[in-house]
Amino acid sequence: MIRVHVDPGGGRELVEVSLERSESRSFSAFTAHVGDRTCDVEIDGTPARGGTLRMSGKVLPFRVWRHDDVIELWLAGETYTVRLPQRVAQRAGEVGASTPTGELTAPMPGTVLKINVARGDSFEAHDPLVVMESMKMEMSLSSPRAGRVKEILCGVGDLVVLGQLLAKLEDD
Amino acid sequence: MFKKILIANRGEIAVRIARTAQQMGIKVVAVFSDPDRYAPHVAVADEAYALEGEAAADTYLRGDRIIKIARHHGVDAVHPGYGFLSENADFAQACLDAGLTFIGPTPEVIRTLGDKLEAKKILAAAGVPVVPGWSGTGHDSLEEVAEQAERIGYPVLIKAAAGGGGKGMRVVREAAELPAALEGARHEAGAAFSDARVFLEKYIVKPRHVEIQIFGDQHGNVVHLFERECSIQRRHQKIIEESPSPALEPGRRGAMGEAAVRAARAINYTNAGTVEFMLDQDGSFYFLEVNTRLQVEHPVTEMITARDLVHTQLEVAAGNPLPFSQFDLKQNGHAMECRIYAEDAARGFLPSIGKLAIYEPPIGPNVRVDSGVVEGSEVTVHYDPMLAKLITWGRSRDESLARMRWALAHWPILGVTTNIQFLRTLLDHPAFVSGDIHTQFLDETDIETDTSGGATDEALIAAAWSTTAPARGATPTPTPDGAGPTDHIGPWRAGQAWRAS
Repeated sequence: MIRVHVDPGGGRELVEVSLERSESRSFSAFTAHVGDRTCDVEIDGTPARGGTLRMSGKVLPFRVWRHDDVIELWLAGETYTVRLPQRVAQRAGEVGASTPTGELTAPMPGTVLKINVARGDSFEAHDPLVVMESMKMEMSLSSPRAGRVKEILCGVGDLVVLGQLLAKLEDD
Repeated sequence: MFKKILIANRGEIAVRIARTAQQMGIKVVAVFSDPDRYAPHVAVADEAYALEGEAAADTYLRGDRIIKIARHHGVDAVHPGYGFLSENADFAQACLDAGLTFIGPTPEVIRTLGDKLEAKKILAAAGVPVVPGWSGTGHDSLEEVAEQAERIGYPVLIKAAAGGGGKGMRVVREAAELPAALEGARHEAGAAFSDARVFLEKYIVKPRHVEIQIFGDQHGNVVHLFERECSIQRRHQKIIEESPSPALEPGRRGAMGEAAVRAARAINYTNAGTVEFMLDQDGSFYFLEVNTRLQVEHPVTEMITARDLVHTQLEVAAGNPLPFSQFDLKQNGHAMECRIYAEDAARGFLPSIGKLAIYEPPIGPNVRVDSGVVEGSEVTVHYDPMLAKLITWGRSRDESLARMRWALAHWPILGVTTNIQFLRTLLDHPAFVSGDIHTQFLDETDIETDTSGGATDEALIAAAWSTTAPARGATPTPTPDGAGPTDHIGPWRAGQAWRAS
């Protein structure tokens, strides 16, 4: 599951885009939601570079270049610039440090491998709370100080993007 | 034939010259500035030597250093490409003095044709049509000026003898406007240049730029390789070139070709050159200038004649006769070239700099890309923003145009902004499609390139999918504590509350 808020440019409002993997079909098949619109798509390629998007019979080659929170995109001859505005606010360090409540966010894009805590659980400083995997690297996410889990916002197997909120934490 | 040549240039033209030379079994020496150390023109060479510095004046314009490198490394001949030292008579002479062959015309010819007024005089004497005009004494009576204007035919242009920048310049459409225009022009010229002298020239309304490719050898043979129409210009910068010109019928083409050959013979022209003409709407044509080098747009001619102009340059420079006669040359089909610039049409065509994160030139039948960059290349402020030339061929103009549209739509470039969208819009303009163009076309026509409508749903879906990969552009934050491979992720290393461990 991929869920992001994106700024489509052109002075338009933020749009929520989600891609849900279809269970019945190939690994490349998704159900896409763009705002209140829904369609079935197939996407094949390399996320870091691009590939081919198939949508209601149309075949659309595309290339991407992401730098920080900007995605530059070439799609079937046209170029676009899309921004990921929520990531700025969700950057782990920008929240939490000075407030009693904190947010555990993904330090890298990847997959959630394990969730070691549940809502309401207390934890000690440096306890591994969530384990992620990205590009064959495993990474344990922990808190530098003790606290309690207020809410879990991800599930095992979820594909998460950089900066995505995984759990809300509060002081015990 | 030469064993080893030095290419005193960079970018796409240096790459293009190297390809032909190597195909002929000639070794290629590249020279490069600091920013170009890893540029494609260096990568394709057999040997490469540094011209330390960044600016063109310190590097590619340093003829002395280039000649020193050539002598030191056993080079036989120097190819100057276009721009830089290509039309510098002193450099051509210095090459000869150093015992090197200069691949181009003689220094004398370069010098003569570099003086535009002198060139015009010589060619007019040889019977090449020049723009009708009259210079008088500069202080002639109104009656005399009026008589001469009548002879030239309205509209006429009054120009300041000391001229420049449009000061003291007036377009006079009919006789009644002449007295006021003459007085205004003299007053303005006097104020601007302390020289009130003015002269008359025929004013060509909406001319086309049509140029003839010429070639001469050291045995007295001269041919032309037909025309190129380059009327699509922005601020005198050519953007699209094509051949044949949609405006020329065979008779006119023949007359222009003959005039160009006459011009070449009049000055004993050798090697490749281009005679530029203004083509009036009534079919008259007037000499502008001769470019004593290989032109940017030479591939258009190569596509329609199936001749390699760089190959021919090398043969002629080596003293061989031209490998073809006028009779051998045929204009086959139609070719078009678009120059791909790193510039932002939506922001006043400002040059766009950066790293080419994605750069996949189109490949297909009758599609040629002459590129000076590759994916990963840095586009810097130091040199011309032209990335590449895209050339297509077709049996007809419609066919090469369709192919050009296809190629532009299949060329992903990300990292810098290019004029591809601008070109695509321009190629769909009804006036361009019908071939009804002139040199002021782009100044007068709004090419709407604003795509500020934002991303489509398809684009948003592709963008969302791409977020599963890490960003490529962000620089990893160095870690002070030599942490392991999982620890180089920026935000987590800056002393923040929640961190990976």
